[in-house]
Amino acid sequence: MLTRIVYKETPVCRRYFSTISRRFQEALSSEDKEAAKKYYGDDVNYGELSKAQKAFLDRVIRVDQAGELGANYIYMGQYMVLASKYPHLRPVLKHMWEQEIHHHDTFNKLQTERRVRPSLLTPLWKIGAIGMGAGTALISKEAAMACTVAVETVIGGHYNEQLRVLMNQYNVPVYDKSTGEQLSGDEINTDIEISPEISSLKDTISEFRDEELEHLDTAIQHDAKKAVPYMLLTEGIKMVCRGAIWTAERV
Amino acid sequence: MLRTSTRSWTISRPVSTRLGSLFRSYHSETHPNTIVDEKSVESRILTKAIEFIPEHGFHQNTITQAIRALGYPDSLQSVITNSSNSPDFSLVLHWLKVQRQKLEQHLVDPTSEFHTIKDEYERVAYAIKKRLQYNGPIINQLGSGLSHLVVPYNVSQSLAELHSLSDDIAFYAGDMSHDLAWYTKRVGFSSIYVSSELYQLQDSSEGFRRTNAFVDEKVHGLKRLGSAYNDVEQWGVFNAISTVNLIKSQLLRG
Repeated sequence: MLTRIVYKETPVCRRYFSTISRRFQEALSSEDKEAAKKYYGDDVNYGELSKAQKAFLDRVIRVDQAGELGANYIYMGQYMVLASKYPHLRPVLKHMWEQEIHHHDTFNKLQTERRVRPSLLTPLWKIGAIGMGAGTALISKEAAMACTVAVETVIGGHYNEQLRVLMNQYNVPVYDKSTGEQLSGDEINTDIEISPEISSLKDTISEFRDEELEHLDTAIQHDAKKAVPYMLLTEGIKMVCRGAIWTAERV
Repeated sequence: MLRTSTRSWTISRPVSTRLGSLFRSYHSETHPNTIVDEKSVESRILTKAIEFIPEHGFHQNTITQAIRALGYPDSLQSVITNSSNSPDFSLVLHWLKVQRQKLEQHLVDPTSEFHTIKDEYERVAYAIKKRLQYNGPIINQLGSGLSHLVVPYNVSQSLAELHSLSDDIAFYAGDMSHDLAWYTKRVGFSSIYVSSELYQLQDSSEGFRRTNAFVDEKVHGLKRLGSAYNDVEQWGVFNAISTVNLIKSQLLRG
């Protein structure tokens, strides 16, 4: 037993040092490689997206549009009820609402540009969201904040799931623009391995996710946890949101 | 031990739904979106066959003629009969796709007259009329071609093609709707297109003058319907808000 441990430990020690030097070498050679790459963006064409890749993007844009519409209307409902009652909350809510309007507009633009059909249940999302925002705000301002916590938790997680897929599954063949030859990974710059269209979508989603999580922090700072009954409210709303996401992707 | 979550999404999961298959999927900007794959043997034969349609109609004979004209062996018939569609229907569908591609190329061409029109609905009318003009060379065979489209077995594919056409028209006309108007417009354009095409079958006027007038009238009707709906909606929202304000003010008075 003892001998085994000793036996195990020695190579670990040795490898530790060797890794450092190897990492150093790798860093050097990858810089060289980066310099040797010839293609930087406007000189390449991208291959066609597969049916499944397109279908996933279709869903992403539809559900995100519906989600941001929901968020926009939730804050609208909260603002309608709370702004006059609690003037100190007004700038906080206004700031979050304006960010949601920006998100909503961005996805509206993407939806028309990329020719994705909007969710058929859009009117339902509007009514439901405004009802949820105004309803929780009518209970108390803490309940409204708890609603924000629940919604933003689900949205943040959902955006992360989307990013995970966009990160892994969108490598398409890249071709030289003039000759039409397929290029290998060594020849192209890492920034352009994925088409600008997909990478800008990724950037948008991760930026929005960060802002949603910021809203989550804001809501917690404003006593969301003091809402009664906190667990029931947040878990209930989370369930509703997950159901809505599931539906908006499909219908 | 780290395990990847099984709940996380993977791209391989079949994602198309019944509704999804009716409407065109995601339109990419940096990746190519092909309507007709011009490289495949099947589409090369069918594209050649279009030349023989006025003479032989939407019929297997036409395809045979095309294969011979291209100098291919007759056994290549199997390329066409291999698919689950009948050869006749394959030809109709291919013809529709080629015309749709032609229309799209015309609409995106910066020199085309289309870009001088400003109004969205007039652009729609222009696109529909342009597309109907493409029926001209084969107008005598069009009736039999359309009859293949309404065979129950083929209906879902025909509808998908029809909606792709109306989606193209709506998109290039500059549709910016995000809600149910999106669906209303496309269904409206599809029905206008179908009824105008049926009208065209009976139209013997020069250059389909009467069909063009018919399209203009129908599109104008749809535009009126749209603005009527918007007016009613605006009126409704205004009244809802003023009711809320009225109640608020009454409550404040006590």
